Amino acid sequence: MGDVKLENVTKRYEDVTAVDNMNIQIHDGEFVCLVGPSGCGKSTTMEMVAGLTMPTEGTVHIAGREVTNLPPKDRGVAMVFQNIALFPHMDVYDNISFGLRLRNFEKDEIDRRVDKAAEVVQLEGMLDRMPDEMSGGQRQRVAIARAIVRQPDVFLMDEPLANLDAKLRVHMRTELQRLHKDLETTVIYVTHDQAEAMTMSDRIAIIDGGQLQQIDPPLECYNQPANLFVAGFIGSPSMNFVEGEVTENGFTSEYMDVEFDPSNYGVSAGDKVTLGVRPEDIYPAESGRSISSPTGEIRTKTDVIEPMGDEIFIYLLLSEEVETDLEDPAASNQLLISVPPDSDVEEDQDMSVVLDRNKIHLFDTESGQAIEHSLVASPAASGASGTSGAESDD
Amino acid sequence: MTDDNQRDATRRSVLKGASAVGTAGLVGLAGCTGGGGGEGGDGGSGGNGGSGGNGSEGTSGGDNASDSGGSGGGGGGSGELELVHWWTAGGEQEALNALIEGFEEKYPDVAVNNNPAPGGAGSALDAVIKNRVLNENPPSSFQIWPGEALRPYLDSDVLDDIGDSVWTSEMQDAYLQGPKDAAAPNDTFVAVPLNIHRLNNLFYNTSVMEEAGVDPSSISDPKALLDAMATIEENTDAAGMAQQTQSPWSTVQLWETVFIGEQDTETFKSMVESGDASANEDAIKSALTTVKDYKEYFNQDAGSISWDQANSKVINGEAAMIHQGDWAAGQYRAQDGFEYEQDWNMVAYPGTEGVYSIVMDSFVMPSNNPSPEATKKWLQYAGSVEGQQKFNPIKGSIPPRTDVPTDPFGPFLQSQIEEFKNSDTQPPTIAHGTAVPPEVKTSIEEAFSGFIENWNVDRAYSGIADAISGN
Amino acid sequence: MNPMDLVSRLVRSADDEAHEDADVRTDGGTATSERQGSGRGFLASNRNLVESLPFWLPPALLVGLFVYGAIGWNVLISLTDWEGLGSPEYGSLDLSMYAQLLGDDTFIIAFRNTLVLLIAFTVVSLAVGLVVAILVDQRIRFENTFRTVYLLPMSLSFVVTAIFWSWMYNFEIGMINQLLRLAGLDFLTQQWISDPQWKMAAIIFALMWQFSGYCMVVYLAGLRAIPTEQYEAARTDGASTLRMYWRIIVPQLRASTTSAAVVLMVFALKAFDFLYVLFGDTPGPSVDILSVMMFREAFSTTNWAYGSAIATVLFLMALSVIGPYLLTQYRRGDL
Repeated sequence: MGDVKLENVTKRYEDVTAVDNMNIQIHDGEFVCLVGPSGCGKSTTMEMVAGLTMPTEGTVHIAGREVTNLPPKDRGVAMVFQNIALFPHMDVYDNISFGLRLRNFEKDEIDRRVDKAAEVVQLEGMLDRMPDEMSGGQRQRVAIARAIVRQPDVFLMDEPLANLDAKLRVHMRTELQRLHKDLETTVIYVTHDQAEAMTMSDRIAIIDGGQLQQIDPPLECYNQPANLFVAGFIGSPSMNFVEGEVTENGFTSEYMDVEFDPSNYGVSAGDKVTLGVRPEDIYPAESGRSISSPTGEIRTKTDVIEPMGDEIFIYLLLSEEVETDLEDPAASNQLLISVPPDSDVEEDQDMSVVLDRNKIHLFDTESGQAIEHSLVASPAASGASGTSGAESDD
Repeated sequence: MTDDNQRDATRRSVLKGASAVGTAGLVGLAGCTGGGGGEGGDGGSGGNGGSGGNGSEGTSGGDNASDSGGSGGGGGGSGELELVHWWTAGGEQEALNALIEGFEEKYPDVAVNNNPAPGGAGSALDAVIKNRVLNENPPSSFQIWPGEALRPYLDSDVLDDIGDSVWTSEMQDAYLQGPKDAAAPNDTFVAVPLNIHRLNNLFYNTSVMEEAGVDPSSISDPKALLDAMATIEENTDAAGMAQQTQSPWSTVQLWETVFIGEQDTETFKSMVESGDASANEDAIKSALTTVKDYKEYFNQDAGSISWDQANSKVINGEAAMIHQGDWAAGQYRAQDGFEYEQDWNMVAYPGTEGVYSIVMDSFVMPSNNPSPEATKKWLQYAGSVEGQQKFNPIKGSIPPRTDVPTDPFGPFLQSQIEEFKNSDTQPPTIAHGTAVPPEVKTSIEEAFSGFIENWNVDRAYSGIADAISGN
Repeated sequence: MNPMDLVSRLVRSADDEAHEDADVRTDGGTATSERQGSGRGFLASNRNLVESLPFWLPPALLVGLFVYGAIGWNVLISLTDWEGLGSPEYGSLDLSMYAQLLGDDTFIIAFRNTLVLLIAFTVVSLAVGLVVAILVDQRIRFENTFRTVYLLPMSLSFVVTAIFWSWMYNFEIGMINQLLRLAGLDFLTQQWISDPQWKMAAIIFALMWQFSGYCMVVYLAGLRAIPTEQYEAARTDGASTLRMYWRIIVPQLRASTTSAAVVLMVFALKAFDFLYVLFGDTPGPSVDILSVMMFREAFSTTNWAYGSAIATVLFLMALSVIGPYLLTQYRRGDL
């Protein structure tokens, strides 16, 4: 029932294109997060689903019905807002029932639905409170109840937890998941917090520059990012990138080389590629023996060390001087690795590391598109040959 | 409770108290515009500026005062003569300056402190003077309408008798009875009239009248004027009569002139003096009805213009006639190519031939006078041939003295002087303060403010009757 | 040594003594600790009182003398029979002036007109201000220019606007009637400010012209403080534009409405200048208001006591407008 389809949807303002030719299909009962940096167009996309913004081009379907030019009230959607947006002059009952009263529901039916919604969000007994007498979490629940009570085809949630403190946010996150499980209604959820997106959604839609970058289940986005942007956006801390070039023997850059057979991956010598590897896929050389297919050792020096409790982040320098470039992280000479909390490391210490070839990503530097998500082309054998061909830096 | 909290709370409550005082103070100021009956000041600021727009009455040519009420303070040492007056517009200011210059030449030992309190027809001056008199800090002399307008001052006994010191028998001989009565409302002389404007004039635009074929001098009485105006509106595009009804005073003076025209000076005087209107009920109502009938021939925008705007309609031919004091002639004089007798002319208001309704300004000698000797000299000078000869030609009024040479006056004023000398009666006026005390004048104006809204004769009559009887 | 230093030194030494006292008492046991606290608190408050004295005392004295003193004196005069240019007799005070007011038709009419002006002017100005604020809030082009233009009349004095409107309302050449004639609506042309049927409405309209800009600014600030989500929430909940404003937005502007209304009402009570410039001190029964009547009684006819009684009534009206407002502000701790 509650499926949503955006076809070639574009939203242009006078001088900017907020959303550019977006195609998304969301199935009934699915929980989809729209994520992306601020200004990427995710909120505009949601507003077009809600009907608060009309698309310049393209069509929107909800529940199999074209709603492109319908006002919000005729779309069967309910929305929960970032700043909660309760009506401050109405008590909880009036807030929750506002939409139903506008639609001239019977008093009995309104009471029944409000009671049910209040029960779902655990607000029984608070119906006569005013919003300013409630805590942030309670208010957010009222906002959710206000959406539930309308029994919409689709819930639209625009960063509903962003204004809550960290602890409450985690708590509400699980409550929303439980709610989704109970109601089985489609949810479109906008957030810039990728942890929220990872934990809650069935699928994540990553948006950048008004364009859909990838829409896939969370782990797929994590493990097989479609392009450089997704790879860098999903995961915290971010994936390490090293720009380089394909040679006859594999990958080479100023600081490191990784051997592989280019023909296995559809690249040829001279192609500009970017190598990507997540911090947890880099190991100190001595513990690297435990993994099945490590690369050769790379000599580095430790820079900053950040103990997190359950792990330690180490910033490694590939050369003597720090050369970070915030504009283009792939051009930096830093590697961030994550090691177990009991590791014995100090700053300004020489350290050799190896990468897990299973988890090395290759991207076309030019287009940013992913080429490969693992440098283990065919099982065991090639892995072994990779290991033996130890490279050293120059 | 910790000390800090307590300290904090206390400071807050101190501030709270102070801010409450401040806020409520503002409100008090805001709510109480006039500052209460006892206070001055506000009267001054209220009265200012209005004159330009509504021309709220004018003995003066076009009182465009815009400054706020003059300060009441000051009061020089002995030997300094402080004069408070409202003559600040062009011609009238020049006239007063000429008078002061002549005075200073004659009495070089007296320094004149010229202290105007601008505002239409003394609206600001009134408040200033009343406050200063109440505070027993009066100026040496001030401008005021003579006659009944002096009543509040006489009742409080704050004006000195100048019968011996100023009103010599020579001077008394030179004044006609009307002005003399006005100078001595209680039979003792307290004021020196300086100038006279006539009220019962009918000015007209000669070419419009010719076009309409109406001879104004042949109109015998106020009711006959209705027929004349009907003819005018039939034969020309002009309105029969220019009038302003934005504020009531023009209609008050029209009504009193019509009253005299329909009755006579004696009846008029007995009406205002008797304190009982009932004896003249029919006469009052008849005059009101006539004015009401005139209304049909007024310019249509009478309700939203001032008297000088109305007077302009006579100049540009939009209206044939206007009833107004002869200060209106000042406007004609200032208009290039609009000449006396050729383009405009004047007759006594129909039915008032031989009557010279007088509007006067005078100077008085307040008690507790800061400079008694200088003040007497000033009043003597104001009552002298020389003084009146210097002042009046410039002001556009005629001298109350009948022995002032007429050469410096223009042809129109010369003819007015002639009519004045030959007039049978010189009745005072209600609208310009000489006939009734200020309280009655205000009440009558109040009655007329209703009359010019609803034109209800009976209601206006009862308002006038109440006013005259002092209810 | 400058006087401020002296004061603060004196205060400090007093404070030190308080400390010593307190120290001695602490030996006494737990019961005294509370007294110690209160004792120090009291002295501390004294110290604050003294230190802040130079800041609030002069204005408090000035306001006390010139505002409350004047109001008090005014009330006192209204109890006398003072008229003319003599001195008031404070010996026999009574309410005769107020009794006289109740029997005075002019007063009844002026009182009624004042109320009509007060209420109609306030309601109309608020309504127009609100509508314009909502329109301006739609992010129209040239919003700032428009806002300035619309606010400008408020900065003009009543004298200017009164003269301006007497032109506008001129029967023959006034803009209003000219526009009506242009539109072929000659039958609608009126003697706006001399026909008693229209006079009050014309005055209210002119005052509204002058002050709805102020309302607009107040409302606009209120509207801007309402988050966009409120509108979006209302719209997704199914409210039409009209209902959204009526049920969601307007109720949230209550604070703006209250503060604008209080200012407007006080201005309405002060409409004196406007009427005086237009009509002098006898504006006619259809628009005579208390402040004009007060001026007339006091300054034109020297019935000081009677004028003071009217002034007192006006003051009480102002108080009844502003009093509840101050009270609620005080209760909410905003004052």
